[in-house]
Amino acid sequence: MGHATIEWVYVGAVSALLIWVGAAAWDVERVLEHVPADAQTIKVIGQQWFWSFEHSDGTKEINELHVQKDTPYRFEITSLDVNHNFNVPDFTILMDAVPGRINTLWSQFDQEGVYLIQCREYCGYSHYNMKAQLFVEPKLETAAAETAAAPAVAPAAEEQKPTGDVTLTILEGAATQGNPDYDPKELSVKQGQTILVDNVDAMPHTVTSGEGPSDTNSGKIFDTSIINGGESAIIDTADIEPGTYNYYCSVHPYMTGTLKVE
Amino acid sequence: MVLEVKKPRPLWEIIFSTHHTDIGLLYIIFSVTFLMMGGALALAIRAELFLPGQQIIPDPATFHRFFTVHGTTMLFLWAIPFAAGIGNYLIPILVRYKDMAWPKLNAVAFWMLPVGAGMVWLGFADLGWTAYPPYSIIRAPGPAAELWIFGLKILGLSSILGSINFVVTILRCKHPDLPIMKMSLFAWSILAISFMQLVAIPTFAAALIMTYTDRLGISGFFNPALGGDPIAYQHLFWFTFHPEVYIFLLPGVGMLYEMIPKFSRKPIYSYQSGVIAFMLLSTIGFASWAHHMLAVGMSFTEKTVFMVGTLAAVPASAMHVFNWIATMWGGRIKFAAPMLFGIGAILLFFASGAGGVVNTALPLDFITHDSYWVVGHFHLILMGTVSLTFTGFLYYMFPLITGRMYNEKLAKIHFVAAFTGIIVVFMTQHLLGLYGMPRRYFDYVPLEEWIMMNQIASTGAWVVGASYLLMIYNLLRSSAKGVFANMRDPFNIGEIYYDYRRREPIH
Amino acid sequence: MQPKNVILLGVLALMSIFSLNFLIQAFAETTPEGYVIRQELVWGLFYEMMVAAFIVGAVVNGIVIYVIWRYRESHKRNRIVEPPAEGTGA
Repeated sequence: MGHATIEWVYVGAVSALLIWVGAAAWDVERVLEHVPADAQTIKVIGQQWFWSFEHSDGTKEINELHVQKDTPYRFEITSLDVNHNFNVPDFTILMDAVPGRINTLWSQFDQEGVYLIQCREYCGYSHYNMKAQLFVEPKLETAAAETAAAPAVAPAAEEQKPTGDVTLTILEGAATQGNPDYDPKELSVKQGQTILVDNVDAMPHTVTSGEGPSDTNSGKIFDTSIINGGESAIIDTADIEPGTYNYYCSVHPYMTGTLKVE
Repeated sequence: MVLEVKKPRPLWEIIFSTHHTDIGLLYIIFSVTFLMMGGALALAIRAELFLPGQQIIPDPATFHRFFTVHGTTMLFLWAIPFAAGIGNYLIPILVRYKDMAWPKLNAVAFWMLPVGAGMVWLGFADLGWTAYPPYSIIRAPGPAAELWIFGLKILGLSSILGSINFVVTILRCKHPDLPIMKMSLFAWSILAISFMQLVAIPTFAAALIMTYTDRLGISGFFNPALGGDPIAYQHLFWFTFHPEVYIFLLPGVGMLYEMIPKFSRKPIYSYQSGVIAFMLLSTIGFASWAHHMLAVGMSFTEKTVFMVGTLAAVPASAMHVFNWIATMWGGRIKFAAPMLFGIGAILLFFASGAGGVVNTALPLDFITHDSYWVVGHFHLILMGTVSLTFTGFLYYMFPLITGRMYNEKLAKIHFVAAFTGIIVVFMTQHLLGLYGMPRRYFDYVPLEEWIMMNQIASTGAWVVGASYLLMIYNLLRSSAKGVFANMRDPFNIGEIYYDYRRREPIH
Repeated sequence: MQPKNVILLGVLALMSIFSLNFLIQAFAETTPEGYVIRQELVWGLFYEMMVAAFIVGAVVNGIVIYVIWRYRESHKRNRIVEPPAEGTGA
């Protein structure tokens, strides 16, 4: 059985190596699992195909997340429709967003800057375009943080319903592929008129010029950015050259329409 | 008796035959056809990703359908049927029985495959081959999803019937003069995977039915809106499909045990160790399924358990590698094309195995999960190790099937192109994953590194595709016009080729 | 004691030394000081694993390449020595 000895040694070496791998990995994971007691909670909600965030002070953001440098955050990640995966590659943050479950993960951010947030779990039509931005900002003193943490996205509290010369309605149920989306599909306006985009759906939508997410000129001519469910936005056509423009919803790219400026 | 194409017969005689060599031939033709079809989809995917932006595939939904059908095809219509085909051909010869135990059941199992394949291809679903709920139950468009579900049902049933037949043939119909511990290791590998399929597949079969009733809205097993749990599906799914990885791999391992001793002109270094490694892998393989789910929000303890279970399966694979190297050591290796493919597979086996160890090391999942690293990793094992071995074995079996020799020079060109192409595509994809590119993306952020690596990967993929076209040309031409093979020893090794009636050595 | 058992014991000892480290870590005080930087820990582990993987991979694949080079049919020390013709008595 001298035959077998060398194989036993080999198997022993392989096993020892694997035990080392397992122990080293286990040790790092153990440290990462330990959430600091003073971590602030941020709720992360994935939906087809956008991210919404809620800070511990109640501030809400869509597709943008503002955090402060060197502050621990605990993310509570969930989804409202299908599985998503909350991923910030630069900070090795990765956790599935599963409907009906809240997954947690903590991190702090040691570099200021703007980083990519993406979805890593296949979630349907616009999976590849389910992106958001992470803004890591300088750390503020705690007193100032209360007011300053509210980012620019948050709409003014008591805004009166804006009015426009023409109304473009985003219909209820537009987020589901195949349903009627923009009403009217083909809108004609005179240059200089304003368009009121009224989102009566429950989901956030946009009116963004261009052919779709792959179009490099997307949003160059007009872009409402995110309009939350029940809210509205104004497109001013004063600066738009006369012509016919295609637009789409950057959250649900199968929602398309055309705008004719005369 | 084993020469299929040498004596031309009417096509219907092969198609309606229940003889194991005819059915084996049908399996092989079927699986190679779908290898090429799945490969065509892969090349389209690579062409789409050659540049950011929309290229040749009109919209994301079509892209999602492409990768779903590509994955389903390569796994269920290439890897499994090919192993079943070679098994059909060789198992009765290796255990010295006149046919499979139940020839008619054998034919039924084969003829379920085109039905299932037709449903998968006609439906062209966009679920992803994993079909995770809730997407697959609340969002995926029908009837494509239903066709996929029932297509997979039929393919699973076919595997079960095939497995039963193999188990009975090997255990009950083996020649009484052949002790089980003298049986070929390829027969052992088929025995191991047949048992694994019998244990693993029913779980997925249940999950498919549950997904279907969920889609109908009459149940809510996986639908959180009805109180179900989407993660339960993932457990059921991976309980089948992690062992399935070993079901793809083990026939390849068995084929290497057939080829390496023959072309090294040396007996297997340790037969017992090969058998033990098969047994270990086919049992421990069931203890690691949730390492595919480290990001779904499991507790630390669960994650640790599945990491340990995964690592525990590695020594068994390492024993095979040791056995191959030790078999070649001191031999006189003849580099015919089948042996080249075998050595290529062994060289890539380490990289794919090490990638798997990295994936299961808990925190590293935060880097690799659902990124191109994972795509590179499992393609390296399925293409680099499993498919290269299968391809080599197809060349090795060619004289047995046709009675003629393939063109050795073209086969060697095929090997060089396929081997380098595979390294270029899948190693680059590993790197791409480390740069953060997620898988299943129709379009990507135009970062310079991502574009460059995608272009390298696409180029490599086309090289692999071209090399396989060369193989098809070689096999088709040689089966009609190749030189007649010396059926006692077609590769000039000095050892007898397959012949179950004449087992005396060549003098 | 047979040499096989000695080596087996050695391997076992080696394995337990490795696992000792694991156990000590497991029962050690687990609260890290300050906040750890996630990506540094994860990438640090990754590089460590890659170093090990590349070393082991080089050894394994190096051995395979050596074996197929040394024991190839055409290697000069691997030619078949013609058996002496019958009847020469050698």
